[in-house]
Amino acid sequence: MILTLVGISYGTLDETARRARGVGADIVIRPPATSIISLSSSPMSEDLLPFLMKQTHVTLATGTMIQSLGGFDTLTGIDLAQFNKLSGGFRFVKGGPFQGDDDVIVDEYYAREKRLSVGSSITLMNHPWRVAGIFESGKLARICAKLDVLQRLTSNSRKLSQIYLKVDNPNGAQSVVNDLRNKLPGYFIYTMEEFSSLLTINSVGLLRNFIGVVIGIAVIVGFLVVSMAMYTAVLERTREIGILKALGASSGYILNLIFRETLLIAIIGTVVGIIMTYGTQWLMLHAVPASLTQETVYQWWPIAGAISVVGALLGAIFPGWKAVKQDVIQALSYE
Amino acid sequence: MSFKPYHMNNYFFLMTTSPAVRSLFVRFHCTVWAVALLGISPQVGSTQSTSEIFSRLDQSAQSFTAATANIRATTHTGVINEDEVQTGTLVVKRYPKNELRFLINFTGPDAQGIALKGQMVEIYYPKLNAVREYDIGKYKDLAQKLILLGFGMTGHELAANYDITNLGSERIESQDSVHLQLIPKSSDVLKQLTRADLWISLKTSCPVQQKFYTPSGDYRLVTYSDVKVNPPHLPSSAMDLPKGAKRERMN
Repeated sequence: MILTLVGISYGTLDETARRARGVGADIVIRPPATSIISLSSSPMSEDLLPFLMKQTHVTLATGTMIQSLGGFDTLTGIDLAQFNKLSGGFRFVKGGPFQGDDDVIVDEYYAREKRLSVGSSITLMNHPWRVAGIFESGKLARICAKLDVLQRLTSNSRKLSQIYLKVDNPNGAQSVVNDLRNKLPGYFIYTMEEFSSLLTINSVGLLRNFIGVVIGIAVIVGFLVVSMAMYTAVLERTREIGILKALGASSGYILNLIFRETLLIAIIGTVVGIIMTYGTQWLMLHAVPASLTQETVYQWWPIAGAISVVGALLGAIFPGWKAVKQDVIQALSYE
Repeated sequence: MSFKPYHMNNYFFLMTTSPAVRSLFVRFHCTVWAVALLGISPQVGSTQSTSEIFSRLDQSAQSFTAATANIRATTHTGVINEDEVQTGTLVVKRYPKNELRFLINFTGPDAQGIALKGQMVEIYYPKLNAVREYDIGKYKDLAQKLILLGFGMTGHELAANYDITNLGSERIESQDSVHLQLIPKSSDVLKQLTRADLWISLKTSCPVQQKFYTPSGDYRLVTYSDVKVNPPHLPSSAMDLPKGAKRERMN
């Protein structure tokens, strides 16, 4: 459970970072954290683009609008001509760019998950769209629509959620960022490398808390399951424990037996758990490739193993104590 | 002549400072009032003192049940010197447990409705015929206190959340008002709002204008006109977004 959920968290963030890098921009600009005052999720004016184009070393500026579709899905509005200049263009697997105002283009994972093909209809945000093209995954977003259409439908004319910049020398992007931070205080301005590096578990508080909760639940469940299993095992082996004690086995010897068995169960459980993560990974890739991406996070194998061993050993304490405290005569007469 | 910066935080001034400073303060006030009474500055006579404003707000907050107004919001982007104007209507209503709810209906090409109900923000998009619901959780109080700044709020609530400076009397939207400068005390709020200016109408004790300054140097100026406090015939549907719209829960 821990490895699957950690894998999904890492996978989702890495996939987002991969798509962000696929944009081909050197700098990303996000709006100030003032959405409560502005009452808008897309608070940046499109007129910032000409201002940014005038900045030294900036060769291209284009903006996008992002609308949540609930869950992990978003609909991204793009100016296709500008975006193609920035990214080199989408590589279409089927179909092509927008033909009409109500067209969307989707990536191959989304198309597979929703069983879409070119010409399919899909309702997003209570609005009917037609799929004009299916592109190779890894660029910006999974679903894109025309920027001006999305702006109009969401009553956000000439508004943007994010701005991407291309500079003449990518190695000098940091100095452009520093300059822009002085000119646009309060805005979140990053080089794409910096932005990608922010997409980690530790920088997303919600995911960090989520993983903490999952670990807590896993320890409690592990503790309860092992405790119940070992308690039942001790009860079932009351007579055997009595015989061992009658033959002179010490408390330490019996405890050692119980803890070794627990340890073995925990290790086998960990190995089985690791193998099962490959199963869930395959399942997600084939059932919900656009919604959930699971990665194999090797550095979490020993952590998950340690958590399972600690949980199991804690769970074995009471059954072990019960076994040690058994009276030999009563144990031998146990039917 | 206007009654220039007068630190409202000094509401507790007389209780906390030394006798010498207190005496100086009292003498300063006596001089100002003497000048006002002699008719040298007719505007000073209409200036409200801190305690007067507070008691006025306290009184109106007690009886406040609802308000309606026309709204004009100007969002200024400093770096490109651009103003974006939205106009519409506002309905504010007090519910049990001192909860304030609002519905703002912006009109024009970018028409949309925005409602705050408890910790849910609902946004109605007419062109999509859809209402998108967002749970804003811990930001509920912030949204209520910022967007409804001055509506049904007691003076003590204001003083508890902001350092206040009285900037004197001004006439806004053909109404006499008191101009207060508010600096948020909470570091969390300061991240979104460096300063807010509030113009309280002397007639309705509700805001006629709010100005929110953000750390980016931009501001949002919201002006209220035709403000009706506790309107007698406010229908229960006044706070509703269109019933036929498709609702989508976003988080």
